[in-house]
Amino acid sequence: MIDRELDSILKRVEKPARYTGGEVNIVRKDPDSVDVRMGFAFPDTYEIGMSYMGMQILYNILNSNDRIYCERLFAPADDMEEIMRDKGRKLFTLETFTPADELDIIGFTLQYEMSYTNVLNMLDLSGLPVRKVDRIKAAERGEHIPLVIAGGPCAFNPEPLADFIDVFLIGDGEELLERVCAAYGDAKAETASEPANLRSAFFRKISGLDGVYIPEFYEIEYWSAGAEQTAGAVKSIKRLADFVPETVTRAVVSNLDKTVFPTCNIVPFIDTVHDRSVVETFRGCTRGCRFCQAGMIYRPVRERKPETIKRLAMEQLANTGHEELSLLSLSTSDYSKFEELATELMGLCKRQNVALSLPSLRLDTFSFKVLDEIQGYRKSGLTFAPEAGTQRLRDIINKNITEDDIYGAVRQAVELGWEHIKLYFMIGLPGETLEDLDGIAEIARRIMDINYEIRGRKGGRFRVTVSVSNFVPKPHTPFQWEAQDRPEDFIEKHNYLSSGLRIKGVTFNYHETVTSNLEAVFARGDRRTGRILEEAWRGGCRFDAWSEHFRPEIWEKAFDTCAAEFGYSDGEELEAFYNYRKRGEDEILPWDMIHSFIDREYLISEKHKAEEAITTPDCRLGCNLCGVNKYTECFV
Amino acid sequence: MKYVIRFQKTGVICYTSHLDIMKVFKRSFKRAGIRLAYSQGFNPHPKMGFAQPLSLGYEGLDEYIEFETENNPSAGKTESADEILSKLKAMMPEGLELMSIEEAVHNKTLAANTIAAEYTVEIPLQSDAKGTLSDDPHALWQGYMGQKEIIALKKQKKKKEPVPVDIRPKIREMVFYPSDTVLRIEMCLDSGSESNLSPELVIATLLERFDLAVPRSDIKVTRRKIHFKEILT
Repeated sequence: MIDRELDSILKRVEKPARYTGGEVNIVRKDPDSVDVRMGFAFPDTYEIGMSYMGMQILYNILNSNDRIYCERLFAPADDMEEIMRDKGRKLFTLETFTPADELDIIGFTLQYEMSYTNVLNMLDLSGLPVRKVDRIKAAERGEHIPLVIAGGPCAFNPEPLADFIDVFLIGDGEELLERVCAAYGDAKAETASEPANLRSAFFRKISGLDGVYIPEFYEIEYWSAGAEQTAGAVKSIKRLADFVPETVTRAVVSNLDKTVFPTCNIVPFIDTVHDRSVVETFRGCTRGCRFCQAGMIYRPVRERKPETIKRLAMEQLANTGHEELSLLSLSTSDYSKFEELATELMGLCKRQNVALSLPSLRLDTFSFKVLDEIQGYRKSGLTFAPEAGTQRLRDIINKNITEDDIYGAVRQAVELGWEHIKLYFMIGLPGETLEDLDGIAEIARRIMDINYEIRGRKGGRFRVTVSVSNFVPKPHTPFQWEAQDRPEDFIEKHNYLSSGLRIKGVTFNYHETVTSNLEAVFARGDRRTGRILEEAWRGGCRFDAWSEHFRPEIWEKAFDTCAAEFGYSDGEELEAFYNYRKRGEDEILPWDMIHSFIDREYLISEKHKAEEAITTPDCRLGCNLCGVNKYTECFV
Repeated sequence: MKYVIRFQKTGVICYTSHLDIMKVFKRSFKRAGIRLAYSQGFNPHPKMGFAQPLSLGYEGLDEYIEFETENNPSAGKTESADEILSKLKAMMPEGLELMSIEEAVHNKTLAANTIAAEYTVEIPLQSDAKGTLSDDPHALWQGYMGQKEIIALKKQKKKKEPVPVDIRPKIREMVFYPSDTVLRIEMCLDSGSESNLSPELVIATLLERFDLAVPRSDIKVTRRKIHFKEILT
């Protein structure tokens, strides 16, 4: 299966096992025996993509269908890309080394905006035109052109990629993706004699499914300068065909317990970011933090039963041989039978020499008991995410954690022997003042003091790490209308914090500013921002999420180049339009054709409550009327 | 109980490193339901190890792994060696072929017992790369092994600069098999903790000596056999 050329290439690249496939539990099928060949594409390296559970879930579901063969595609690292381009070798699947352009469907998962240049690069490496219109033309000339689809959280604002992707799938993929692939198979069979009709036949089959968004059937108009609304804002979203919906509602699996979860996961040969068994305990979150997109777009909360979770965990461990088990959800301790589940899993893991890892625990007495037991003498850091430095700002963002919660938990932690506390904050949040930044330093200082109080004047090896990220307003959240801080604001705040956090035993980390501003452009960008993306990619940008590969000067040039096209004098003005202005509540937002199930009125009321620093309680305590239960049942 | 399994590593799995192959075995034992004995201490590890690491990209036709199974009489009946082998075989990824199993009799580890290893090196010869290379095996042997010293540049663990070392004394045997398209060389080199020679140094000096412009990525290396001081079982 590996030819001489590839063999020789593999001897020249770093970590060749990224490109060889053949791992334990990969699915082998005869490609000629299926109707549809799909390449599941993760727009980052193998190590990152293989840590993503969603790929394992969908790989498993698609491959249980005899009509479909799902294979994997990853972004090659720069050394591999260089050789591939030099030799004219196309991006290939890891299962059968098939060039990606020979597949029927290429499906990207969009997990973060900074992977978008990799999406374009992977299409290009597949030998395909990156722009959809050019692929359609090539298909009309009779070339075999795969259909390019995309899903994942970033697809909730699909517009920046609308010119490159044929179909977006919005929401839960478990049922939808298989249906879409099967429909492609049907359309292919029906149009076998006239392959030119395949595309339209396929679109008609899927256009009625929840979660299907086909951008070419929606035309976007923008306000021109001098109009009553902000120039460049969306004026209208016009539907061009009557067989597509006015607004696309997201796909939802209503019963998670009955939804398939993989137990025969692929086990990578090389180290990946997370190389462990994972079971998703529940989807959705009830806390309603106002900055958090996941907390909005994955509603409602749907749980798996404890028996199901235990069974899935044991089967997965048996099939993979993993030495670690972890639970997946937005907030581990919010699982309704968490104590029962954690206690049983601890016992099961201990008997099998398996380490149990429980991320994002709320630190109460029970959690400490569990952590003390599973971490034993090797205590890793304890993590808190207050997100903001004062109670006022935490109320604004609806982050339900008080300083007493933190200090009480730290006191217990120090007494139990923990020596490292990690704190996560965000800066640039709406309503933030200098006082909130002082609050961050204050929390760090108070934690150090608690340690001195307990461990004595020297304090032992105890340390505190403060990590600060930059607020990026996200679509479908109450903060979707807010302005983002300018780069100079972020830098000023970083400097301010740097001096405020010059405390013995405290380490201060912060996130790259330019990346956060770019992320914001594509998080809330309209269809036109695809131009900037393409320009940056053509200039050589890829792996923008990796600081060592990030090329701010090329991005800057791309913004400058595109500015005139958008009616601005320079790239900075262009960026300002997307990032640094507050949008009106009546403005049509680029993603308004996507319905997340949360009422717009609810998001607006949450925005108003934020302006008054009024909190909204956890919806387990009573329905807050966000609108989700008009479409699906909560707490199944 | 202690066992030794002889296995082969061929095909694409050669691009998975020594340490990662260790992990593959560890997980295969788990998946096969074979419980290994664990070391004591703060960070317990299953007791297993290879005779010698195999470099990334090399094939291995005579590789060995030793391991110790859990000694737990309460666990009921223990598997026979053959049962262990067949269970484990079913779990191995393509390219790792388990050949045979024996009970281990020595206390010394396989690694401590290793003294030499045989390799096959295949250097493809394109007409332009071949240059003035002789077709005569003896002349080739004379040309390389006839040198009083064979100085190779060896990377040191601590120093940055590679250090010149004479590798001639560590080459036990070498036979050349030239043809029009490929120069095949069979060699037996010191291997193990007492004296060790990497085939990479031999390849580098061979290419230099015969003035061959063949990229390293076109050269195939196979470890054919590992020699032990004592007979294993």
